[in-house]
Amino acid sequence: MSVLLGKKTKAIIQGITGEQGSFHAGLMLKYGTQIVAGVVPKRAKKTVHGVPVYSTVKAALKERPGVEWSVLFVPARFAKNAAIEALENGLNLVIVTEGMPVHDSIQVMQVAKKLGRTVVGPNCPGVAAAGESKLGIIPGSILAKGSVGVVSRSGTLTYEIVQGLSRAGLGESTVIGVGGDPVIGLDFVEALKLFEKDPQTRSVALIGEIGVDLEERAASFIKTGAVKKKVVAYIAGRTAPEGKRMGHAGAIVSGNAGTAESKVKAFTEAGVRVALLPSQVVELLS
Amino acid sequence: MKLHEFQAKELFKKHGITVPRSFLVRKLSELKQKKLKGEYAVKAQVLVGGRGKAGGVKFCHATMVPEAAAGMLGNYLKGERVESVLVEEKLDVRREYYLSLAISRSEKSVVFLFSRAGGVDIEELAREQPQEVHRLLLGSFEWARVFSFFLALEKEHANALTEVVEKMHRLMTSKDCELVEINPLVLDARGKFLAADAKVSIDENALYRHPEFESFKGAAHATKLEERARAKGLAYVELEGDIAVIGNGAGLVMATLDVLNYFGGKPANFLDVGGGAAHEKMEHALRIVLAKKPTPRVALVNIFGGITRCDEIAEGLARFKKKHKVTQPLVVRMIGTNEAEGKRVLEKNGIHAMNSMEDAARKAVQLAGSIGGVE
Repeated sequence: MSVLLGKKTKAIIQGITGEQGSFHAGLMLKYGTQIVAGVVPKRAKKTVHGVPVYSTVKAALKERPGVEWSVLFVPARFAKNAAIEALENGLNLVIVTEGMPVHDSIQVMQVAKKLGRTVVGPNCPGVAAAGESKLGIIPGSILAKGSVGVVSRSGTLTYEIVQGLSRAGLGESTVIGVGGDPVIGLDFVEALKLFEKDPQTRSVALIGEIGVDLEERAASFIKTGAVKKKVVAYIAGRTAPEGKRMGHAGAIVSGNAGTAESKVKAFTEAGVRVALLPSQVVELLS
Repeated sequence: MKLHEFQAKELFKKHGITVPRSFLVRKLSELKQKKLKGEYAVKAQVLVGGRGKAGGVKFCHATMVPEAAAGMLGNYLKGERVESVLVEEKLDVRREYYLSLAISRSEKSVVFLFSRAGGVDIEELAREQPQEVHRLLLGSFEWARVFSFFLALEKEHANALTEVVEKMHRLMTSKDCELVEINPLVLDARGKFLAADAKVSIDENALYRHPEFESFKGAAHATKLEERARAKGLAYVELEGDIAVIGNGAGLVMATLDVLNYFGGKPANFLDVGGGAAHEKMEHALRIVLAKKPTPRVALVNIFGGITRCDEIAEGLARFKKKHKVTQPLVVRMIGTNEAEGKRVLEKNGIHAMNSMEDAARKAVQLAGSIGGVE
């Protein structure tokens, strides 16, 4: 079993008529994802890749029952309202959208918490259950069904490591990109809890980067003994200069907080081996 | 986006937070038109931290203000040029407090920090005397909770302090601030509260709904190339080495820098072309990374695109090389569709096509070394 989603999981796409939305709708369908509807407030098309388009989430769910997830490709300035609309209609969310204002993200996370829903992202590549289904933009071609649970703050670096796992024959159970923003929904600790419970997942690759304290919190969680499975980590940005924003809004080192050293130290103390090169993740897991 | 103190204080005034009387000076000659009397604080308007310790704040008598201003204007403070100074009335300080509203990433909420020891380095204080730093999560502004927070800590001024926090919170949410900090908030001899310093940082993702900040743009310490890249929508950071680095995705580019360092190379810069690496974007990216001075010895391109057309990128790179007569070796590693065709195009045009990120990094380090080496 994968975590968060499987072959039968039904999802809708908000922003399905946009360039990104329609393109990735096609790729998700091709991978086997059950995309049953699209939502766009000012509906210009009746269908995209044969998927019916509605003007509200409510209308879509009325016609297409049994949906659990929505994937958001809505532009940043409309993302907050679209996200809250999905949450209030009982859906979990993958927010692919990049550039969401942080106060908007905070509001979305507070609504999700109140309603008990899961949010992955924003600014994330999404979730993929290898060989079954994917929500978001993780390329299907690099995935291979296997035993490693992957959780990461990055996009393309995740693909790099996932491809390595696939080529080495280890494969993945589920790949979760939690997103590169300062405020995100599902984090490393929650992902570790999911992987620990999942029988398909035998070990976990955790791909972090400088800035914020997601890795440190994951390390203290592992230290409590709650994670029995083998965890291997990689931290990007060991050589980044202080005070510069390295592409991701969350990737900034200020003072001693968020440095690669502090993360490596935290993991080492928790008994997690940290790879020096991306390719070593595979070696350490083999 | 960090604001200068004078910009932050303008915002404070608009939101009803009292600030000392002051005026801004960009040129020394502007001081001649001012009638100065009494004691002043002359403050360099820079964005780097630790301004006070670096000599960026001088307290002096009216007669000495021009000299203090002359010592700052046009000079560099911790690497940042001082373009203006704020001349401010000196306050009659009775008490000093620390107040800030920031974003707690782990708690996904606005957090209020308060200390009765104002005017100090708050991070140092939090490390050394954590009991002096008080913390309160603010989901939405709850007057009663803030009031009882102050009743327990600073009973005499609970009302006035709550009012200041309320105004800070309104500023923070209405202007999309990541940080609103008053350090110190001064209680003066007449019993008035004034923000003696002001730090505000605006969320760049929210600038579209605040056109009033348009003129504040032009990042702090950004170099010319960093600004040029920003205008093209590319994330660029300048570094000290001799290998130019382009990649797609922040994590991958950071990892590329780390791998280069691991093999003994020194990256000259960091450029993230982001999603959908179209060849036009790639051309801008190459022009920017190669324009860095001193000129990089090698350029390394690392693209991991699930669906990116490698043949298109390869042709774009080859065209660029010919058109701009690029003499430095280019090392390219691409993943995507039509990889084999892409590699063929690269090799035909004298561009090094590598199979993995680590092979590409090793090759770039070797080439940088063979042309003269990192000293």
